[in-house]
Amino acid sequence: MEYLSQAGGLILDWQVLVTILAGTAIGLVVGALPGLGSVVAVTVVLPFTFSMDTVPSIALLVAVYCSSVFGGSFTAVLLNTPGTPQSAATVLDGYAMTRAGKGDLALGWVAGGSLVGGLVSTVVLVLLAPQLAAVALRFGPIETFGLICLALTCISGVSGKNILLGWIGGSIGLMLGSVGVDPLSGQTRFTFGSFAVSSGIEIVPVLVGLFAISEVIYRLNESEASRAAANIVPGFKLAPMKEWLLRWKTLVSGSVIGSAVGALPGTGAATAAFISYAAAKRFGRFRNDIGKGEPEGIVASETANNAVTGGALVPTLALGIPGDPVTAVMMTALIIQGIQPGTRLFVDTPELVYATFLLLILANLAMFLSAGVFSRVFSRIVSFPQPIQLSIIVVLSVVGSYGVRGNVFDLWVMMMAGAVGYLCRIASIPIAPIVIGMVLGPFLEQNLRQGLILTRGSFWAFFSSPIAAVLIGGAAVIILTSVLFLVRDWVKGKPSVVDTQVASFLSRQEQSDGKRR
Amino acid sequence: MTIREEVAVRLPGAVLVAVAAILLWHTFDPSYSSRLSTLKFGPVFFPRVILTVWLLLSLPLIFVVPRALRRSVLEHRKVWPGVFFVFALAIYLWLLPGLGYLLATFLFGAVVQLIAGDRKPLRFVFWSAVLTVMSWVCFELGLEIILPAGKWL
Repeated sequence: MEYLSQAGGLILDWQVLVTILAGTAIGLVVGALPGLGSVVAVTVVLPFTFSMDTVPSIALLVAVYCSSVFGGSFTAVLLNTPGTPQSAATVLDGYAMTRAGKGDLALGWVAGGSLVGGLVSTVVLVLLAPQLAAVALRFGPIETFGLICLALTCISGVSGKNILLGWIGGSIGLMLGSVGVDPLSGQTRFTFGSFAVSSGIEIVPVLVGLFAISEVIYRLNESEASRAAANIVPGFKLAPMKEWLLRWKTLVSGSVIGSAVGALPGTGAATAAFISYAAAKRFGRFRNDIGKGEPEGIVASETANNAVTGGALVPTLALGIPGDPVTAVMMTALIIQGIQPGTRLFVDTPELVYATFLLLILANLAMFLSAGVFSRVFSRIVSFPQPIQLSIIVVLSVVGSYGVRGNVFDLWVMMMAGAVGYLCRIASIPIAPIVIGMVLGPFLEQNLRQGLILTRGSFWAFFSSPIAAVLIGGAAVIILTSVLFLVRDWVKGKPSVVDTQVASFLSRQEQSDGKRR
Repeated sequence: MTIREEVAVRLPGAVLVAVAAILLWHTFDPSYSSRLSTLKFGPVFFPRVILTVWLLLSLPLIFVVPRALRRSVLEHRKVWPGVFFVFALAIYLWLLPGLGYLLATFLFGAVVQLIAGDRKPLRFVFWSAVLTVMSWVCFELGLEIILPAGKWL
């Protein structure tokens, strides 16, 4: 309590509060630009921290970190262009809501979900930082492999009842993730002699191509899509409290999943978002509507990806191990400020640790308040006529994809991914599993092979770890259950979800053709 | 259903099987054989597992076409605007290093609006210029991300 009051004294300074507001604005803008994301946002402001005092510099970094994760969801919801991989799960329901004329509500769900996720993770950080750090240390390659297996089961969830096509998409994504340098031997794979491919296929251009460019092609080709685009309502609107309470389980589970996954070094917000999304799809109150514009899907993804911000600081502050590239950059800033994160931090400068916790709370509140202003300004874009909208999407996609590595090759990847994404839409292959596979593939492979080296090539030895056994067993049960449901529906002759959607689309098309005639 | 339509609905499955088979065959390339004793599970171990799964899942699509895929493929679509767009994007990417970001993006932005159905030249030229300059200022000046520079701009 004494440390908490000392920490309160440290942050109650106009300089700190102004820094939080500035950091929030920068984070929202940079996070919303496709392809940039949290690492770029934190790196951009890093030089400013060198000339600042310790607490304002932490405030700037924390505010930029939280709001950049949140900002990535704006373009995901409004333009079907996820700013960052962690927003990919938000696209599925967020953009569907925007197309249904509920873009303002979707942004409200994004902001509220992010706030809850961020605050819960801060509380988790305050109460459980040392304990969580100890548990995280028990996660070796075998346990992490189990966790990734569990995360992959969300492919079944996002594929509706078209599981076969969903898993084909997942396999394509896993393969794309393995192109380039092998993480263990350093040998290049599937480059076919191309130097540009040897460093692998960057996720951002693929993400932008699959979602944004394929959407542009789709809108250009489909008159139905053009009409639906005119429905978009710009603005920001919070759903009534009753609606939030109906989804409280997902709010809690998403926050807990995000905090826990964030505490595991090297996993990241995208993994957390997909695990949470899969959990909501399986256990959520509105699970049958998730994927078709249901706020519970947004809540699941947003609480988890924002809760990662607090979770990722657990190993960073408590152990001196950065959980992801963003916290690695933040740790650099702390070291430059003369603070050495690690076990001694809690003993030597506890007031600074508690000040960081309070700054996280303030940053999350500032992010929520700025969301109202920012989304009103930003959502004006979607009320522009379609030709202007499409050119904005294309230009942002091009610059975002180029900006990741400054390489024109990535733009060709984006174009190819766009064409493939459109063909996948025609072939009814869901796009989301490709992204899930690509995000999780490198982690899955690395941990599987490291685990196999540890167990001398015995996969069965993976089950000697109780954590891994539970996680892998859980993943197997979920996959088998979804296959059994698929077989049951097939035997009963029920049409699949996709069939129903296509049938309704065709009937609408026929009706509108009839009217025109 | 005509033979042409039967071929069309089985084409996605056939393409998926062919791609998986070619990549799987590629994993047996001698260049991937590793001499490192620690790498019993070498660089192509994981891709082989994934490609085998991909192949096995895609194979049934040739023989039993899911209804969703069948209906979607048989829908009659306008494809030319999309084809023009991809063609324009390819030309833009090809010209980008030579012309530079400002000039190439200005032209491409105008072409995209033209393909999207805007028939007011003043409007699409104006918006294309605004978008190009704003994105350039934001990324090149604001975020210091160096965009391709051409001979003239």
